[in-house]
Amino acid sequence: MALIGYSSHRQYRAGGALIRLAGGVVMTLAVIFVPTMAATPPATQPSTDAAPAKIKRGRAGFDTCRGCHAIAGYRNAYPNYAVPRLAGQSADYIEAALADYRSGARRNRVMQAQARSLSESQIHDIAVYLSQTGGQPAKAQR
Amino acid sequence: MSKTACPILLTAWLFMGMLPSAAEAQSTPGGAGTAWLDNTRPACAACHGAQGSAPVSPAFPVIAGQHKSYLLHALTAYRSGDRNNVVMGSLVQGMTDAQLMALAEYFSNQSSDLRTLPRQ
Repeated sequence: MALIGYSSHRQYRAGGALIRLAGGVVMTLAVIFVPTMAATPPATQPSTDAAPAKIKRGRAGFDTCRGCHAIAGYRNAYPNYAVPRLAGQSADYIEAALADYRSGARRNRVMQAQARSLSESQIHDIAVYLSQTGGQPAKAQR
Repeated sequence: MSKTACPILLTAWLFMGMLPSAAEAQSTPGGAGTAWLDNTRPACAACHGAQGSAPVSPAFPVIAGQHKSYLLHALTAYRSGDRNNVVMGSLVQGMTDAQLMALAEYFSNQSSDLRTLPRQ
């Protein structure tokens, strides 16, 4: 009897742990998804803005980046490589790259610091600006 | 697993089938001869477009006309796992240094609208 009691107690505890675990999983999923679900449906202001306004804000927001990305052949040190050409680059790719630098999923000290100073809507504006702007004349390219 | 992960994994698996086999790559040192490059390029073009200059979606970067050293840096980072992307990681897994260099060399020499930004 004592043995049965013990085992059912264990089962009860195991069941309780399972319920807690399931509850925890549900709560975690809720914490992760509910804010994003709540955030998506109503079109946010930046995405409904006309492109010219985004480009204007993106151009201004990009000014601090020109010290590296507007110098033809400017190189990153350690490791040594030319920083990427960005005029004419795909908008969503730029947005994802900056979001990854901001979250730390993509690592580069300078870029992580820069991206952390930008809001999501600033990142979006910069991406639109970069994708829709021309670059330096061909002879200046290296 | 996110809802985007499944199609991405499937795509990665499909593209890996497009890559030349190890046997095909053995003919040149580093396995990065013209034949290898010709056989590998379709896998790149599937997302980055012909010659890497016209991505099929704005989610993928233009790689034609990008700096060779930057492309090599990116490819190497995908191979080491420093940069995480299921598709790119699977594709470059097992490529030699010479092969990554051959890809960087090829795509940096293709023309596109990619430019260095104006100073102002």
